[in-house]
Amino acid sequence: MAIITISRGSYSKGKEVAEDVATRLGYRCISREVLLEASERFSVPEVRLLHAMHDGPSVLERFGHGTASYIAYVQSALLDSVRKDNAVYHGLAGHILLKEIESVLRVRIIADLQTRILVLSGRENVGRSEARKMISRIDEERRKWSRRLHGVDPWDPSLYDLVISIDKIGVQGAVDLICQTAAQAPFVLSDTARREIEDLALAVSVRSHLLEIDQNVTVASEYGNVLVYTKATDRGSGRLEERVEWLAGNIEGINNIEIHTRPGRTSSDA
Amino acid sequence: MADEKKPKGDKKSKFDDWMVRISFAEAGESDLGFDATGVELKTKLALDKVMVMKSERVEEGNEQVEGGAAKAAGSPAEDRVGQKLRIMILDDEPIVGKRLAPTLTKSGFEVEVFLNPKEALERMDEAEFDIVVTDFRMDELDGIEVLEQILSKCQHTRVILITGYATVEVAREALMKGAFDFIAKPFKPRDLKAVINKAALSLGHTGKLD
Amino acid sequence: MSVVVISSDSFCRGDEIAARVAEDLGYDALGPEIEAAASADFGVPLEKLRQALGSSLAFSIRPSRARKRRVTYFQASLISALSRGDVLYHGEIGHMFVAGVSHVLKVKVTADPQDRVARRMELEKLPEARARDLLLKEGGRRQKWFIDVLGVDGTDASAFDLVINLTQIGVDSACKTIGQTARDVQFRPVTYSIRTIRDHELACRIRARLIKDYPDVEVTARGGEVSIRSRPLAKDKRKRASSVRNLVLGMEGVTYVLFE
Repeated sequence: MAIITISRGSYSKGKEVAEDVATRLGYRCISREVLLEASERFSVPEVRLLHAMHDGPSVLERFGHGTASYIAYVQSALLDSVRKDNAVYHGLAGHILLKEIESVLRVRIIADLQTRILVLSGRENVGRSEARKMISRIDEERRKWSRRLHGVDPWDPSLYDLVISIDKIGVQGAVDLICQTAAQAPFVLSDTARREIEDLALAVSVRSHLLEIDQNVTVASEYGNVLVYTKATDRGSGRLEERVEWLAGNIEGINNIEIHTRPGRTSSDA
Repeated sequence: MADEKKPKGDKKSKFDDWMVRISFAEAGESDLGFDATGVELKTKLALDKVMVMKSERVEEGNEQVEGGAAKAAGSPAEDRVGQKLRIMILDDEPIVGKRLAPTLTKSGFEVEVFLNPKEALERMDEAEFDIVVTDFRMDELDGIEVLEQILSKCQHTRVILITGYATVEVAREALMKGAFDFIAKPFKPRDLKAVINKAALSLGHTGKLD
Repeated sequence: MSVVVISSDSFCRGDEIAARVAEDLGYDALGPEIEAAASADFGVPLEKLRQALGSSLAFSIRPSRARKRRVTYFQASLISALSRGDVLYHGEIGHMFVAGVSHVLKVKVTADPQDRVARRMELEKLPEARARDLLLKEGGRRQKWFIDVLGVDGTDASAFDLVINLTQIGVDSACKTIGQTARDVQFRPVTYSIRTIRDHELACRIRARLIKDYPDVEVTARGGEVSIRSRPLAKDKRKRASSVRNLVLGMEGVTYVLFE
């Protein structure tokens, strides 16, 4: 089993590469479906999820509870998708949403600006000058999003296992490279790795359901034994306990679920 | 770094065979050095793999191998059954065919010239061509599409792309799609002759071009 | 049968990878030899040359004619070596001097910052903070060198065909990947790419020959026909240009000289 994420600048032929890789390897190809899945599961309009995943915050705006929750919903849907089967994910922020899974093959496809302008112009029927501005705007939003939320520049090559220049290597060359690399030992998921993915998917799923009650909740899971960590001050209302009890009976894979209290500090993500 | 540091040595001694071949073309030498014994044809390049096979086979006693060149016999550009090599020239600029066709015909090739890619491809349904020299950028079909269609009709055809818009990306794409060679315009006829010669040799023909 | 140029971030086992890939492909492996060759061929002390290329600890970012000249000498030696084919070059800056040649594969090898820090700590017996600080500073200096000397950031991923991060991939897989890619049909030499690198070699060789007397000289070459641009030469077409023309015509591979 293997999981491949393909990050790409807009209009960089990354989708074409992802689809060809998936076809060649017989993997599922996932992108926008995770947004649709998250939208249905958590009853949030898809456009809001897209906004949360794509746009950097404006000067007057900060990443609020809504954005963090929406990102968690998408992450949950994505993890649910990849835990079942070999997959190629080419949607937004794969290298971040799946960063906790070792052995994911993280690929970035880059293209010359002129190439991207041509692709956009052709696809959206706009002039080159307009296309250049659009690309610049999209790039800037994505970089802002990544820096603000995760403190990383999506263009930093050290975030990926492979960075492939599509103009120079070509789509076919990129597909060959990715398929050859995915077959190599570090990226073939062991049983241990698969179990860890199951646990991570479960932890993120539980956390997604708890975020609206406690923004700072963290969740860990091991063999289906789920531990929920919250601040002491957040336990007063009893809503968390109610929700946890509900989750125990409604989310598959939970063997046991407990709430633990952290003394006063806010926590980082699970 | 490698433990052994090779001495810099003489430049000429490191000069690969494909470089020598271009030198010959530029110097206007009529004899491009492909004699019957093939002794000087030894080269390391995949493009010229047939040449290595040829020299090895000649040492073994002139045995015929797939892709290797036959022992020279008869007139130039003739294979062992006496058939001439068939070359198609496809370029929407008439001057290209006008310049190349007489030279190649004189060298013993059977040459057909086309200005229109669709007509050229239709012709390929009627007759097999050993070598196709095609422009890259044409109005109705581009060179890559022509290349793909030619190779779908006949896999052994050696397709040589010529273009005034040569870039790294286009060259690599052409190779990925199966092109035999890729030449930037402007070029001298003798440059193209050198490539055609290589193509001919790779098909098992002696390629002594005048 | 391509040419492979590998640039590696420091403490990424770049030397080991270069040696193994070269052996796998049957190529000559070159690195510091190019600097040594340029030093010998053009009569520049090796340490001065290394300073100009940013390879020395004592390197200065200050632009100067001497630096420009020495970089030109390095480029000429490098392209001369690469134009012979069947060669793998490993160095920090070489990838920026061979553009537009389709049979040259340019690869960058990197690793997660924590791994590089850990390796440096182990090899140089440094505390973590010091190791990290040094890596950051050296990376920044190299980036600045590229921008000062060449006007572009040669550390950016877009300068390469492929960037490989060793942290997960590992040295063995990285070597295999580079070797497989180098053998790919798209990196096969063709008439166009052979001519491009030959023209490039000729232009660099002539420029290296002229740059001491004509620091602003630019040279392009196409199939033996050479165009030379330099303000002093343009101003005095008879005397200087005539002697330069004769000099250049006497150089191997030159058939015609034009002054622009």
